[in-house]
Amino acid sequence: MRHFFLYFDPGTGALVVQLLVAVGAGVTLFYRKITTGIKSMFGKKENQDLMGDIDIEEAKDAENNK
Amino acid sequence: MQKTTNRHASSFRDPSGNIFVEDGKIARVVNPVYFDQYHSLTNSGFYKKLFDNGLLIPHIEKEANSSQITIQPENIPFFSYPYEWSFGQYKHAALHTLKLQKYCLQNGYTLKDATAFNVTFHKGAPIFVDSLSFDVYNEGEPWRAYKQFVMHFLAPLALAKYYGNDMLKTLSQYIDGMPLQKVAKLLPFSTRFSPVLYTNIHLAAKYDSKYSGDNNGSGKQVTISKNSQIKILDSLYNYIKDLTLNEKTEWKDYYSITNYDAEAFEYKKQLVSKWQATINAKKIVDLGGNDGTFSRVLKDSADELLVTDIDPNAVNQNYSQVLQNKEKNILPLVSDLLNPSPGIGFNNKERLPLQQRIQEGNFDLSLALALIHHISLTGNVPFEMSAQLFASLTPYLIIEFPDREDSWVSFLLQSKREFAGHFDYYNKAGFEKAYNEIFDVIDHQDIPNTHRTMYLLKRK
Repeated sequence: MRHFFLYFDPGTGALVVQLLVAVGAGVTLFYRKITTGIKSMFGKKENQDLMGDIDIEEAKDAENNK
Repeated sequence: MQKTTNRHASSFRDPSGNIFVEDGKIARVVNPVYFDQYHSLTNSGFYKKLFDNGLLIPHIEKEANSSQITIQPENIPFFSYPYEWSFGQYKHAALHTLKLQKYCLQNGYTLKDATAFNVTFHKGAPIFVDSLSFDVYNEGEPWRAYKQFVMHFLAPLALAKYYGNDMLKTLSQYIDGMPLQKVAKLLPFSTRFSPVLYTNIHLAAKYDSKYSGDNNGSGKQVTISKNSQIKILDSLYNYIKDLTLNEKTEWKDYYSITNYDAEAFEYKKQLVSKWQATINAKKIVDLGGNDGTFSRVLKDSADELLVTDIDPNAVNQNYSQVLQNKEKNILPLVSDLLNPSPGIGFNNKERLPLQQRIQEGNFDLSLALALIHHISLTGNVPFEMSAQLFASLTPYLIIEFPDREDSWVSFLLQSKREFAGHFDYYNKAGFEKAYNEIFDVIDHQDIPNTHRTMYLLKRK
């Protein structure tokens, strides 16, 4: 029943590869954590952020949008 | 039973439901096959959370019975497509999709598709429009829309990083996204050393072709923890957010090099503002609007401003300002007036031509400032034909005519070399004669200290 919704082919390969992609992602996220840590130690400021973070600031954010 | 008569021409892929047009409004039918998901999304309050956080276009339930549910989404005044977005807009739409998927996972749902056509721009930000793209998440299942996300978002953005803005138009050719193997071939060799591009494109392309003959669904057995999936989303988010594009275009800083003095510039602004008030135009399309400098003069008095330009960097600049100033009524789009987006997809009606969307959007006024000499002299379009185009879009037109003595015009004429004689018709009298056939002149003013004239015209 559920797979009735797969009206397009998700591609088996693209499902399998996610295991490896996740490993790569783990590495880049770890590396990023270290570099931003070092940058902030030297007081380097991030560029102006117009597009925001991936995480939703619940409620608070919602009220600002009103 | 189903309202298929007015079914929207773009709505046939997903059996969960379809959209149709009734009394000029878009509504969406939910089919019984999607009832479980729909009730779960509604009753858990997740739909509401998505609305409140500006992730999904809000809807209300109009009607519900055992055979179908009808919902009415909030009206989106102008629907734009991925191949009309600037780099920043494309990025923002991609980030929005990742953000949405992460939020879904955190709340026990998942996006079952991630096409770029499910995102459009509304009130100065990207918004997801397909209310039926959500499914209940089962622990351990991979993201089924992952490949679609890469084909629709990551691939064009990565190509644009290396080869420029034009790559963002690829979805007009590949309506289902760019094939992974092709993208892997096109990207420079050095991208194999980028952890994000190596895994998400090169490796994904390899696995995709390796398993391409596999139709018995062995992929179902793949298990990937929610945490790992979130890592993929986080790393894609970081990568896309940091993407930059280094392509200079001829129009960059147009206003700083153009032949206006500050006084003439100000005069023109005030005139546009005055005329807009005279005809009380609320919906305005600014053709060749560059970075939106003139549209911004009208932003407080108009409801809606669509600003198109051929130069993707100017449009990008415009979008940055929209974000910075939190402007909700300005929509910048990349469009070449000499080659606007056509109708594409099934019956050529799945994605509508730009001009048709403008016409159906019932705009009041077109602005064509510092544009006619480019259409006429660069594009060789005769006055009669450009007049017809403008008249087909909106009842009113504010147009600026730079005469032959204008430095920009004489530059364009000179670049025609021995062909310049063909453009002897290009002068104020010729312009007025041709445009008088189709428009009534309500007002006209010469801009002081320039060889330019402004006209307020009304379609006959």
